[in-house]
Amino acid sequence: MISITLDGKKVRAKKGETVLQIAQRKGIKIPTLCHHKDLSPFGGCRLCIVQVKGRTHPLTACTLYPEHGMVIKTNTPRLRKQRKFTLQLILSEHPNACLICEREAECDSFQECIKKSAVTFGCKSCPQNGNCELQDLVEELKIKEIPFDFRYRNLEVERHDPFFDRDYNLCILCGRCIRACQEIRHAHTLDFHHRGPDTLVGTAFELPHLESGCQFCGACVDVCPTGALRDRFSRYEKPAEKTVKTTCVLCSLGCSINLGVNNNKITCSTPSNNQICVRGRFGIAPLVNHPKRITKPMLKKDNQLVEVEWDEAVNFVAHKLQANRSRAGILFSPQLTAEAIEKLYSLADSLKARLATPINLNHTLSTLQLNQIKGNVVFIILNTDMVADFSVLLLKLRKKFKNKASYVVIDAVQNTSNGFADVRLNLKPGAEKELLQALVGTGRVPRNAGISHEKITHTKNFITDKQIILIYNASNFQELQLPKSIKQLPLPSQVNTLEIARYGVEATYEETLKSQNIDCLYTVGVAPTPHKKYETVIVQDCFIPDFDFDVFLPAATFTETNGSIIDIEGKTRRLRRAIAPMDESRPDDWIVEEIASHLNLRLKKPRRRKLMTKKTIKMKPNKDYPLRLIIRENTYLYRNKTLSSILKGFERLRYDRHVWLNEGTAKKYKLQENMRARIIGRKILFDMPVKISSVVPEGSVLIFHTPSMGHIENQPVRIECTKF
Amino acid sequence: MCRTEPGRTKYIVCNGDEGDPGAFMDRSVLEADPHSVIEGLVIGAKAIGAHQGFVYVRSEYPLAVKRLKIALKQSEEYGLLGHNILDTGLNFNIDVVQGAGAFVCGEETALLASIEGRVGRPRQRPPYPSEKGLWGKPTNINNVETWANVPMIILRGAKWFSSIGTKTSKGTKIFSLVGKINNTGLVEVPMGISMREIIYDIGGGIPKGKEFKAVQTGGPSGGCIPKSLLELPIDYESLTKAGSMMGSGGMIVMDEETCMVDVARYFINFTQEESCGKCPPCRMGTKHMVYVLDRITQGEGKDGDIKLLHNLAENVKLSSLCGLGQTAPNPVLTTLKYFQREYEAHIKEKRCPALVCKNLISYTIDAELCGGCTICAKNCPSDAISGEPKKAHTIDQVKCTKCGICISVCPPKFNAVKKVSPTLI
Amino acid sequence: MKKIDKVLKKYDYKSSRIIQILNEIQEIQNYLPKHVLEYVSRQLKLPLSSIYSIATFYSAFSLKPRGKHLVTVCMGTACHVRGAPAVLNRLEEKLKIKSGDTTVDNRFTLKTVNCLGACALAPIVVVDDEYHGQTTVNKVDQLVQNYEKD
Ligand SMILES: Cc1cc2nc3c(=O)[nH]c(=O)nc-3n(C[C@H](O)[C@H](O)[C@H](O)COP(=O)(O)O)c2cc1C
Ligand code: SF4
Ligand code: FES
Repeated sequence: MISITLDGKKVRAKKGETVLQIAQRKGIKIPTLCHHKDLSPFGGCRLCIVQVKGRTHPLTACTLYPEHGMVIKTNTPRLRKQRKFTLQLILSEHPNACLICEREAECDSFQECIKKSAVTFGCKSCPQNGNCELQDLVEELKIKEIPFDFRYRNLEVERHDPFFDRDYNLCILCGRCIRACQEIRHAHTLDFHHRGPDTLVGTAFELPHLESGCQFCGACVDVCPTGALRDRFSRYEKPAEKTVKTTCVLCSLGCSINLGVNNNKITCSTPSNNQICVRGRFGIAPLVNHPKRITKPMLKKDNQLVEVEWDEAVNFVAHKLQANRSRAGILFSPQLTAEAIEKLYSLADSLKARLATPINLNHTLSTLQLNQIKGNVVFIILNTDMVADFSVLLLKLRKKFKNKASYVVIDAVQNTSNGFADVRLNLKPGAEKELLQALVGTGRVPRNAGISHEKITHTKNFITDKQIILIYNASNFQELQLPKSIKQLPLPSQVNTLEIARYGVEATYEETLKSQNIDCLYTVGVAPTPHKKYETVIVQDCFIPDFDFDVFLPAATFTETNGSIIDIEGKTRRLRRAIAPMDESRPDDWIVEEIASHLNLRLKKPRRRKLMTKKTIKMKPNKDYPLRLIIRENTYLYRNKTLSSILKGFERLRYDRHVWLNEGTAKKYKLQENMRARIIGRKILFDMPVKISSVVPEGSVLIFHTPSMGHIENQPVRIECTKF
Repeated sequence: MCRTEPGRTKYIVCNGDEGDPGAFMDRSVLEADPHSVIEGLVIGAKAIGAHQGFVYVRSEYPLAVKRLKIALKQSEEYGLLGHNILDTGLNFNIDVVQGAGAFVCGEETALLASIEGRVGRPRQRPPYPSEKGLWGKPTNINNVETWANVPMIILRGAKWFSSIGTKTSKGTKIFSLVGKINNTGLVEVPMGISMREIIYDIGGGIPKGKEFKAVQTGGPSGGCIPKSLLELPIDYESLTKAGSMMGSGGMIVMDEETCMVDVARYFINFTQEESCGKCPPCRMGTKHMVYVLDRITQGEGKDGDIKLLHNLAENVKLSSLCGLGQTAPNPVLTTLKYFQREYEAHIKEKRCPALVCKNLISYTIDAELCGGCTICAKNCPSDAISGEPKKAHTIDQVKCTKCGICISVCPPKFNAVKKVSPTLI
Repeated sequence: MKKIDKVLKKYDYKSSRIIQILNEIQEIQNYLPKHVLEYVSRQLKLPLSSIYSIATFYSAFSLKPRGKHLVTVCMGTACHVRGAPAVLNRLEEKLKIKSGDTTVDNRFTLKTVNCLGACALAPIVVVDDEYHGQTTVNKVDQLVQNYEKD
C-alpha cells in the first residue's frame, strides 16, 4: 500500500495499480481512447495525461504506476487544453464534419445538411454512430472546430473478408485491436506497420484476413472504439436497445454470450465475460435472421407443401405417431435444450419409439474437470484442431497455466494449432495408437509412422516428469487404452453430450436409420440420409432439410427460448429468451409437449437406457483402395445445417464440404481445385468438390464429417474424378 | 543509479545510434578508438554488476561495426572481456547490435525495444531503463562519447575532468562542425567557449566571404541560433535557454544563402518521417506543421499561419510521448523567434529572401552581362532558354523548372544568370 | 534457403535477433522476399505480422527487389544546406523515378538516407559502396552515365 495525492485528496493505492485505475476507482473521470480494461496499457493516445508535481511534461495515467507520495492533478486548464489539442489532431484525419456540426441536434430529426459532400463520410453514415468513443469524447471535451486542414487518408475500405469490414480511414491507431489479437487471442494476425504519419494497422503484407491465419473471433471488432472495424451483419443496425445474456450452443463449450436486440430482432452476439469464437460471434445473428428460415408449420397435401395452422400440423403428427406406435424412430440433435431432450426421451418411452442421436458416445464418460488439472502439465493434443474447433478452451488453458504448460500436437493434418505447439508430430495417419504408446510407455513406433527416432526421443524427454493430459476429439479417434497415469480429456464437440450419455441410447444413429422396424421417422434438428422409404417423415427444424418429408414443424432457435444446456464439464448453463419466437416458430419443448397432449400422454421422467457403442473397423490401404481417408468432425453446424451451407461467410472460411488433398495427390488423379471428386470406400460413396491444400499428407484425403454422412471412420478409399 | 537496483541480471548498453543528421563524432570514436568504448563499458559493468553489454550502432555505419567487432575480438584474446576478466571475477560480454535505419531508436526506450528485436516505439518513462530496461531488467544506457570518456575520468580523476568546462557543464565536448564553413570536421572544445570562437577561430569563418546567418545545434531536436547570439557560451544551460540544445553535438553553420523557413521545414519533415507513429501529437502535429510550412515555402502561406505554427509547436512540445516529439518543434520555434521577418516575407510578400524556395524565385539572365555563349541554352533540360549566339539570352519563365543548371554552367567570366525573388503580384 | 538457415543458425534461432537476421538476409537477397520471411517466421516461431511490422518500420529494409545499382542520396542537414535537394531532384528527373523506387529496367534504385556521417563531403551521393562527395547537378548527369554503361 502506498499513498498519493490525487486532485488534492490523499488516496491509498495498491502496488501495481495505475493512476488511471486509482482514479476510476475513486470516481474521477479521465478521458481515454487507447486504454481498454482487458488489455495491457499502451499509452499511445495521450488523452489520459495528468500533471505530476515536479515534472514539466505531463504523464499518461494509464501507464503511470505511482510512487509513494506523488502529487497528481488530473484536470487542470492546461491539461484540458492539451487533451483538446490532441483530440483535434486525431480528428484531423478522421472524418469529422458531423462530429462538430453545430446543427447536429436537428440532423437527427430532419437528416438535413448543407454540406452534403462531407456527409458521405460523416457520422450519420458511420456504422458506429451513437456507439463511438470518439463521438463521446468530442462531446465531453466540447470540441467545436478543428483548426487544421482535414486530411482524409483515402484508403480503400476492405470488404473482402467474411464477417467484418475494415475502414482504416476511421482508424485512430489506438492499437486496441492489435493488443486484443495478440494478448487475448494469441493469434498475432494484426500489427502496426510502417511508421510516423504512414502508420497503419493491418496484417502481414496486408493480406486478406482469410489468408493471414485470422480466426475471425471478432475480438478486434469488439474493442475498436471507432467504426474502423465493423461486424458486417449489424453494420446498418442502430445500437442495441437491450442485451440479453445467454449461452451459445454451437459447440460443446457453452460460452456465455450477449445478444444485442433491437425491435425483437437479434442484431449481434458478443462475448459476455470470456472470449467466444467465430461461430458465436458471427454465426448467430445471421442464422436466426436467415431469409430461408421456415417459421410456419407446413403439411404435404396432394404432394404439395402448404402452410397450415399449428393445430392441424400437430394433429397430423399425433395421428401418425399413434398409428405407428413402437414403429417410430426419433432422431434428435444434441443442440436442443436439455428440457426438450428430456421430453423427447419421455415421448419415446411412452410411444416405445427408438431414439438416437448422431454423436459418438464412446469416450464421453471419462470427463475431467478443468479445475482438477494442476502442476507441471503437458497437453498432448491428438487429431484435434484446437484453434478452429475449441479455441476458447485453448485460451482458457493458456490463461490458467500461463506459460507453464507445454503442448504437443499430434496430427497427420497440419492443422492451425501449429502456432502454439512446443512439439509437433506430423505422423502418417493410422499410427496414432502406436505413437502414443511409444511416447508414454515402451512401445516402438513403426518405421512407417513418418517420425524419426530422434524426434520421438526428444518428445519423450520433453514430457517425462510432467503430468500428461491427452486431449482428443472423441469423434476423430476411436479406442484408446493408455496407462492410468495419463489423464484423458475427450472433447465432445456438441453441447449436452454428457447429458445424453447419462440417459443412454439403445441404438446408434445408423442402426435406427437402417432398421426395417421403423415406418415413421421423426427428426428433430438433424439431417439424416434416409436409407429407405418411410411411411411418414416428420421434420422439426429451422430450415428445410435435403430429403423428402410430410410435415414440417418450425422450431425456434436457441435464442428464442428459455431453458438450459449441459456444457463440456457437465455444468448446467442457462438459455435466456432474447426475442419472441419468430412468426409461428415454437421452442422444441413446446412442440413436443403439444404432440404429447394431442396424444393424451403425460410425459414422465425418462428411463435410463444402456449405452450403445460401436466397433471400429481396421483396414490398411490396398490395391483397390490406395488412399487413406482422414475424417475430422465438422463442429461448425447448427441442427440440420452446416454453417457453411447456409452462411456465406462460413462457406468462405471453412471449405468443410470439400474433399481436401495435397497437390501431389491431386496431380496423380488429375484433379483440380473445385472439380468434383468421388470418394469410394467399401461402404461409402461421396461426391464432393476438391480443395487442394498442403496441410494434408501425401496419399491421404481429408473430409469433414457431418451427421448426414452417417457413421464413417478413417479407412482406405479410392478417389475418382467425376465429370459433373 | 542501476547499482542500487535489486536483481542479479543487469545490462549495460552503449547508444551509438547517432541519428542526428550532421553529427558524426560517435562514428569517429567507434572507427578510430573502439577500445576506449569497450573499456568504458567494462568499467561500467564492474560498477553495477552487469554480465552482458550491447553496443547499438546504426546501420549506416558498417565500417564502425566492423572495427568494433575486431576490437571486441582482440579484447577477448587479451582477456579483457569474457570470463573472469583480469582475475577480477567479473564475467562480461559485449554484443554488437546493428540498427536498421530509424532515428527514433536513439531514444533509449525505443533503442532497448530494438535490441529486444521489436519495433522501436518508445514508451513512457518512468519506469526508467535503470529500473526496467532490457527484458525488464535494470539497464544502464549511455552514449558512445560518455562511455569513451569513462576511462579518462577514472585515470585522471573526476577532479581533473570537472576542472575543465563550466560550473554545471563539465569537461569537454566534441562538436561536428559542418555546413557553410571553411574548416569542416570534428572539434573537441572545453565547455563554455563562445560560439564565435568555434565558428571563426576554429572553423575559419564562412566560405566565399558570405555572411554568417545562423548555426543549428542539436540536430532535429535543437534550434537555430542567430548571429545576434554569437557570443553565447556553449554549455547545456545557455543553449537550452536560447531554445536549442546540445544534443549530440552537431553544429551546422548557415550563411545568407540559407532560407530559415526552408530549414525549419527540412527539420520538421525529418522528424515527421522519423516519428514512430504511436502518439497523435507527434504523428499528426509534426505532419500538420509540415503542411503549413509547405504552403508557406510554396508561396501559399495564409495570414494565421504563424500563429497556427506557434500553437502546433507549443502543444506538440508539451503533449508528445517521447523526446522526439517533445523537441521536434525546436527548429520551428527558434526560427520563428529569431527569423520571423523571413516567415513574413514568404507569407505576405511571397518572397524568399535567401533565394531558396523554388516557387518564390525565378532565374533571369542579365542581358548586359550575357555573352551569348549558348552554353546555358544547350544545358537547359526543359528548353526554356532561347537566344541567338553572341546575343543576350532569355529564360521562358513558364517553361523553366528552376533546376538551376543554367546558373551553374554560366561561365564565370559572364556570370550573367541571376536568381531573384521578386514580390509576386 | 541454405544460406538463410546459416544466418538463422548464426543467431541461434533467437527471435530477439530478428533485426540482425533481416539485415543479413537483405545482404544476401538484396531485398526481403515474402517467401523468405514466411520461412523465417516459421523457423523462429515469430509471427509473420511482427516481422512485417519490423520490416516496414525500419527504413533500411526493402520488401521490393532493388535495382542493380543502389543510389543513395544523403539528405542530412549538412547536405541539405549545401544543395542535396537539387541533386535528388535531378536524379529523380534523370532516372524517371521517385525516391524509394526502382527503374523499369531494374538498373537503379534511388533511396535517400538521413546522414551518412560524412558531412564534410556534403552533398554526398553513394552509388553501391562508392562515395561521391560535393556532388552538383552537373555531376549527377555524369554519374548516371557512368553507371548506365554496365
Ligand atoms: C529522438 C531521440 C533520439 C536520440 N538519439 C540519440 C542518439 O542518436 N545517440 C545518443 O547517444 N543518444 C540519443 N538520444 C538520447 C538517449 O535517449 C539517451 O538520453 C542517451 O543515450 C543517454 O546517454 P548519455 O547520458 O551518455 O548522453 C536520443 C533521444 C531522443 C529523444
Ligand atoms: S482499427 Fe480500431 S481498434 Fe484498431 S487501432 Fe484502429 S481504431 Fe484502434
Ligand atoms: S488512454 Fe492513456 S494514453 Fe491512451
